[in-house]
Amino acid sequence: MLITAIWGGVQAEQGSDYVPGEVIVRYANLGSGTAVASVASSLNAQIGAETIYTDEVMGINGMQVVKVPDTISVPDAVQFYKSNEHVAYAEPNYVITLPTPLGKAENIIQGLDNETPGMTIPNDPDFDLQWGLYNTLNSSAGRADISAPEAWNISTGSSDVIVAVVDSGVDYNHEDLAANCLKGFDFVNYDEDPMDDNGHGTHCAGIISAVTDNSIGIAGVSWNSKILPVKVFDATGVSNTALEIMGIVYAKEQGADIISCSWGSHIYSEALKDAIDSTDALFVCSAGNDGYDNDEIPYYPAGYNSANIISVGASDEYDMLTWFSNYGAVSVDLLAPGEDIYSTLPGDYGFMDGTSMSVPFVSGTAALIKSEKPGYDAGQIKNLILNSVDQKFWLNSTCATGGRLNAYKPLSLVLPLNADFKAEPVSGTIPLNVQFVDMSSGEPETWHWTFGDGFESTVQNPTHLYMKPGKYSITLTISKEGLSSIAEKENFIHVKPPYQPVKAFPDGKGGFYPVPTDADDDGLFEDINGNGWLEYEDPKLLFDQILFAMKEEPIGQFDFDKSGFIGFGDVVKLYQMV
Amino acid sequence: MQMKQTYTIGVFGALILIAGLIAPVSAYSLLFFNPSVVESNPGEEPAIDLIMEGCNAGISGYALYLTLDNPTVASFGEISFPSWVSMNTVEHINSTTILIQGADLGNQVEPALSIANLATVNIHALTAGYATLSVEPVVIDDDRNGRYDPVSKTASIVISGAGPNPMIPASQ
Repeated sequence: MLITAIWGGVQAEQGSDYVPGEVIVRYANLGSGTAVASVASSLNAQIGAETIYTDEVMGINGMQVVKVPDTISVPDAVQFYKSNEHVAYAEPNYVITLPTPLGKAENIIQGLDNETPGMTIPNDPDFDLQWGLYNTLNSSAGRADISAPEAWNISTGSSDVIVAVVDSGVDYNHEDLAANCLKGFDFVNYDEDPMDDNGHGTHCAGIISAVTDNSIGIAGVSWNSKILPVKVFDATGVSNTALEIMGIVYAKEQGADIISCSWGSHIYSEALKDAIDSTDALFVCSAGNDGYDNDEIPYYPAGYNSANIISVGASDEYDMLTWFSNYGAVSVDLLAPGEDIYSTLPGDYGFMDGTSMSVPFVSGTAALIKSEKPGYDAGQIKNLILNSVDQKFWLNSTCATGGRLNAYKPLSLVLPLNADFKAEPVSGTIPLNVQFVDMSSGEPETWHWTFGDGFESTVQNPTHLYMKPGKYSITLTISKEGLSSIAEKENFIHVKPPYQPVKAFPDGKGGFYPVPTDADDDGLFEDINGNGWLEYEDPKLLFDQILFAMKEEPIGQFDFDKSGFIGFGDVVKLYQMV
Repeated sequence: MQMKQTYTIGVFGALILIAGLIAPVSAYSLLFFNPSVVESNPGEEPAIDLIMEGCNAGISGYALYLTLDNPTVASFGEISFPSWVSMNTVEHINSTTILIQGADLGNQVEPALSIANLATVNIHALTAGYATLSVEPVVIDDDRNGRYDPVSKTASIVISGAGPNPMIPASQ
């Protein structure tokens, strides 16, 4: 990009919706740059306007930003340009401010469980403040985090993946960011120093890709991905459409795979949409913090119908929509943690709230996917993320997917190493010899089976002999080159007692009830009176005829309390089963 | 000859195996009646409690034979059960013996208890004379997948009349 005019930076009057005197003009395709320049020159001369950013600066063919004289209002100037047949559209250079709220929350300390199989827990000392990554506070109600430890067991990200943080800049000297920061650009001051003088961008960058497992500070979603700082918001959190477009085009030119946009407004800008549509990158955009329904009151750029945009609302640590988050059953794609989010700040760390914080969780997850599947385009990554959220029925009306981001699930879908197995037979009487067959993908190198009865095997396709009745859960853990995958099937093998014919119980009147049945096929004949189901009469009949049962019936089929004999304990157990 | 020896050892081993499979037996326990000596008059209906001592592993249920050995002197009246025996039956086997069964469906007789009332036996005092009330356990199961093997004691029933009091055997 070349700069050919005096740099305007951020100039906005308090309360104004657009930069005074500035108009963005997009000329129709006139076939050559010379033709555009000629038409633009003619139109500008008619109202005394001058070009301050050429289309070369903007990076979009035919798009310019002009400064009109004080004698003409911006709306009138917009109408003037629009009336020309060679102008595709014209619009004010809208002012955009970083979303609110941005308050700091109180510290939340949570106790972390010990690392469990299938998780990778980093050693960053403040990781236990990052509930969005791993939330053990409310685990009884289901974890409301993005399953980051499980995701990290698959991937911690690649340094080949670039995530552009188009924001207020990034503290690229931060102890927990420096190693992951690329050289960026400052479009506010138009220099190569995108240092963050606001804090918003640094906070977002830390969530995406703080240096992780370095015994310092926090963990990022994607440990190794590179952050491209692109400063388009000034110290007060103000930017405009032109700066954002230039930042997006710059990120595109720098090869950003993902562009993280934790900002927006309710103003529709064709120019901004054109800029987004001009890139192949995945745009992750915040849904806004007004508490509005975006289906009714659209919020942009999240609300553009561009195929490469993901719109993100904010969830809290209880998997509820936060009080401030915008929502939309159509226009918001998913939720991600956005309240009491702990991350980096310039020279520091701290908490922030907002859909701005939700966006980088998604951006980081997209970076993890891109790391594993470099060939995936924005649409494929978007679909993976949206198709693998943790759905909650109470979120159905808040976003299109009805769920909150899960970083593990999309990775597990692309993971080349995926454990699976089958067994034959899965049911039978003791002694039951079962052949287990590895059905895993990814050509694992090791196998570890647990058969549920205390025995294990490291053979790929083991056989196992079951000698005790019961239902057994099976796990298969495979691994290859440091990666692992686990498949677990609960109560998969059903071993029944040796079958012996059961006898009909006397009815006390000289006759007999129908023969007892095993309605649920668990090897136990709970249906004592043979009427097809278990009810109070069954323990009563067993009680009445306990001496008959003790003498005549096979123990295995009536030993409900697993005592090894038929007795009153079985009556009590059967009664409790009714 | 060798075969026979092997067979003998096999049967012996099987007996040991079966013995091992039989339910574990709870520690010492005792069945007795309270009072152990009942004096009554014809036409009266004294009540006697059947008590189990040493039920330290709880009780899930029981089946017991009760016998009155002199039906001309005394016979069984109503059999009542304490509240913990939430399922019960009484079956008359013959003129002198009944089978009573009870189960603790509510787990009220827990292992912490060491003594429990199993039933209350009402006796019809018929004519002057002497009778013995005895209990023979068929099965008494505990709450820990075990089975009791209690010692039983009898009760003496003395029905007074116009003549001299009958003698009570000293062996009771």
